[in-house]
Amino acid sequence: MEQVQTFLAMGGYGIFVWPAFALTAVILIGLLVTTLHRLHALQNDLSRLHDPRPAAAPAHMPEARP
Amino acid sequence: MSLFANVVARDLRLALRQRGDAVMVVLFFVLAAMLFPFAVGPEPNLLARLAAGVIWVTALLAVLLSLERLFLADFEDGSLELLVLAPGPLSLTVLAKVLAHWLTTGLPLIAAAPLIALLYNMDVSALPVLALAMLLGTPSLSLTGAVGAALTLGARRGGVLVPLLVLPLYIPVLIFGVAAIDATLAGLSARPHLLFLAAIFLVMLVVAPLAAAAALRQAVE
Amino acid sequence: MNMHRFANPGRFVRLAERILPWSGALAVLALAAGLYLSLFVSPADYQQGDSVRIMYVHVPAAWMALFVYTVIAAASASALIWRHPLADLVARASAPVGAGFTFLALATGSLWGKPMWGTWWVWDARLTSVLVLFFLYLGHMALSNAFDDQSRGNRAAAVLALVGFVNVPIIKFSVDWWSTLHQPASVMRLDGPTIHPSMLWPLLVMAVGFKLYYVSIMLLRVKSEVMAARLRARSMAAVEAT
Repeated sequence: MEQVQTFLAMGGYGIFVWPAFALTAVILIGLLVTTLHRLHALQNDLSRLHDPRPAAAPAHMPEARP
Repeated sequence: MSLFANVVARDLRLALRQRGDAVMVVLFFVLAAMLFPFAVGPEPNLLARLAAGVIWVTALLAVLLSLERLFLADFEDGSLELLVLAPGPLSLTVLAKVLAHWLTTGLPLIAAAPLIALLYNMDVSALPVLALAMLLGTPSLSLTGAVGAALTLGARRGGVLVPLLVLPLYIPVLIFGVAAIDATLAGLSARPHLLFLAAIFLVMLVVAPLAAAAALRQAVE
Repeated sequence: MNMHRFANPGRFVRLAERILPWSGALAVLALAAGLYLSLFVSPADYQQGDSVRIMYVHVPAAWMALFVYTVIAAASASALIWRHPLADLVARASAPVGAGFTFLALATGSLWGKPMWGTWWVWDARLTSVLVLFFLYLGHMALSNAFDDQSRGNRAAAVLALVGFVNVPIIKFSVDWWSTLHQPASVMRLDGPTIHPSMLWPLLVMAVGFKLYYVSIMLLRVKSEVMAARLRARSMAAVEAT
């Protein structure tokens, strides 16, 4: 328990170190989420339009979520 | 070369006919500079220290305000298409328009700057350097501004976009323009700063007409 | 909008789909390893204490801010010169990511500066140039979205990116010059040229993670752009058919 506390305190710099890492996480994950969101929305729109060339509109992409 | 002279003469004629434009630029310049003493107080030493910065910042903003009329009227009445289709390099035509713009904004600003220097209690010995720095710096402002004005033709909210595109690119001119005057006031040589202003002018003289011409072609396509 | 323009992007999408699982997995791996190394393994600095750990996100973000702008400029050049149909999309897809990295560099720099310098912001040469770079990104994004015709926006943004790229060294140089004229009394350098290996490794792993993250996100976003272009072309064809 004490170890966790000293780790979180970061030698007194915790209030600067943790927000920096948290902000990094927020921005990296936020960009990823908005990107994936737009991609899925576009995939839905494309598949909803009637498409005579099935190869042009891939139905499902499992690897879109790394 | 005759097209170049024609464009310059035409734009000058237009600017003189609507005499308001050049006068408004100078009026804005003086008015905006007049606000600072109210904001920071009338203490003469403080104002003398701020003078160079205030002159340059307000000059940047005054040029920014005048950029819209560089291409917009031509774009709206269709004469821009004629200019783009005209024989000869389009970048030369852009240069002609920039020259006309500078003659009706940069030059009046240089003429008005000593007045503000006087109001701000700036040392008279720095006036020649101020004029020289503005003579080297303001053409770069017109050139860079022409790129921004050409890129935003036909854009939604074109008016608010131009400052966002252009102001970051104005920073070097601001830095060396102020530094030249500060150096003179501190008894140092203004030469390196003036040389940098000249170098920036030369770079923009090459880059800006090419970029603005590309942007104009996109606008009339 | 003729279909041959999308033949090439179609191949790109297939290539991207093959790369993405690898780049994504490696990015997660490198970022996780970097996080572990920077928070647990690397030592506290003898001067800056544990606050030095902010460096492991700040410096990679700042590197990426510059790298992504270079990518945008290169893509813009090939879009304007060779009219490569994908280059526009790469530039367009990269700009918000680069802006995100630039913002991150500024914000983490500020969080690092508070304990080190005592203020959230100093007009230090590096911070100021990164701030200007952030505005260049914002201008690029605003311009590329300012037109009803998407391709006009892309081409205008490409011209702006190239003009900006020519100006970046001039701005950097002038800001350095300006900052040596107005040197604050005692500014401590955040990162010296010499860095101990125990700190270099976490930094490099983190930097690799950031780069792989950018590659993955960029591929996903270009894929989105290709799809959006297809969608526009198809709805236009539908309008013409009726």
